[in-house]
Amino acid sequence: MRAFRGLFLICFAYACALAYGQTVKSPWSIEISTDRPTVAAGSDVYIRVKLTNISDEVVDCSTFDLGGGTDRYYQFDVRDENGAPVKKRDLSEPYPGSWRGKCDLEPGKTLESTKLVSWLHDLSKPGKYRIQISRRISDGPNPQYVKSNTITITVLPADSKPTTDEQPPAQR
Amino acid sequence: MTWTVGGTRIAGYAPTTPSASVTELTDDNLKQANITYHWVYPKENIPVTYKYCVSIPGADADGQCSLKAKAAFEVDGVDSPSINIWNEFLAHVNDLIGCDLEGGGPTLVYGNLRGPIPVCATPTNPTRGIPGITFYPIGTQPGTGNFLFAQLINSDVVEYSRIGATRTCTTITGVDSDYPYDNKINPASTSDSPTAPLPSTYSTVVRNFNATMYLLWQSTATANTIPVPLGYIPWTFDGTATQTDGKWTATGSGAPVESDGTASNDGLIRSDGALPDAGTPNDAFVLAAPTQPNLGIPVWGGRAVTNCVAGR
Repeated sequence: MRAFRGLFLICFAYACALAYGQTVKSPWSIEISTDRPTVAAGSDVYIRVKLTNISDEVVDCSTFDLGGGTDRYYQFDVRDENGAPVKKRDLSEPYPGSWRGKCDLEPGKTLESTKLVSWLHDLSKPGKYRIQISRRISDGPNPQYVKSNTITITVLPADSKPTTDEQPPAQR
Repeated sequence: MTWTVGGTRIAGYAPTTPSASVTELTDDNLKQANITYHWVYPKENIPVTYKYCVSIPGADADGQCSLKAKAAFEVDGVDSPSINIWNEFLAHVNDLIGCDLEGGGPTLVYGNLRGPIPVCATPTNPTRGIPGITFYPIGTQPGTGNFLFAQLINSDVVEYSRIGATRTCTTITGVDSDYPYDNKINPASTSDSPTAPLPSTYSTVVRNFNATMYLLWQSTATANTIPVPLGYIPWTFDGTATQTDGKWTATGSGAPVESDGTASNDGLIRSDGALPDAGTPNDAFVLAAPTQPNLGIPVWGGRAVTNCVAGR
């Protein structure tokens, strides 16, 4: 009986460790960038996302388009120059979406995509915005996320000419 | 300098997610010493000529110009291109699992999904299931190259309603998400499963979706190639979910649309589980042609994004 109780305590402690605080190794790395770091207010703001499989197994790389404007596999953290979160579209109201089917990413391979940040977040006011995205890697009460690098986008007044007028990122 | 270039030719086409347009080869271009152009369709014996003129005092007009240099080119392309389709017929209501503050719940789906909603998915617990429609590229490539898909949304309206209130979500025309579609270069297949969450606060949800999936091909045999169109398939999904006594049920269906407007049954995954033929061209496939708008090349001015408005 004592042995059984001991085993139970060990299992309980292990379960707690899994649920609270144990670090899950991410199978992905995420890198974001933009070819247009400066845009005029009212312009669409796109970022380029590179999702790389850094594990030695095939991992999921599915995308789920919500409202044509965002990929619901990612969390977007967009902040103004004071560090305050930028107003976001209210997703508690229903929006139609589309699941793109199963996606397998081979070890070492990268999937590159473009995300329209300005559909989900209000970037209409001039200023500097810091953008970072993340993707969930574990379940449980304290889920963990793999985070991207942070980039800065400068939004100029609508009648300004952006200092960089390169075309948005090409896919190929 | 004067060039003449036969066949269907353009100066450029460099699609990206934010935009895609065809740059025509202008008369001015054809008067330059060096010109860059791309042939869009395979053809034999495409004539190209070149002559130059110089000003020679006293010479008549003919005497001021060179003889025409002539050449004929053969442009190779994908042989017998088409798209094979496997598609579900009926709409379903699937219960997807939420997490944290992200609520799951019943969802109207073209296809059959299970597991967590995508924002709650993890590498070991992904959203999974059968997509509503899957497109497989067909065709023999002339050397090295990549198939690419691009989907354009023609119309997409979702109407949520209950007594005394509606919410209408309308999508503007444009490219669906990314180019290439689903960010895949040379995919064995690509899929789509339109969905709509079903909040308990509404009694009816209707989604009418109409899109065209284009198949393109880009040679990698040389530098500076462009994607060229091979053809397209229009398809629709019309689904309705109705809530009765707290339970949602779905009606409606999706399918490729043939030129006479009828639904194609070619790729239907039948209710008894029988699968369609692999590798068979779908009847709804329309071969790209220079007589089509924009020479058969898909163009767009941005992503097809959705906005919703509440009504009464």
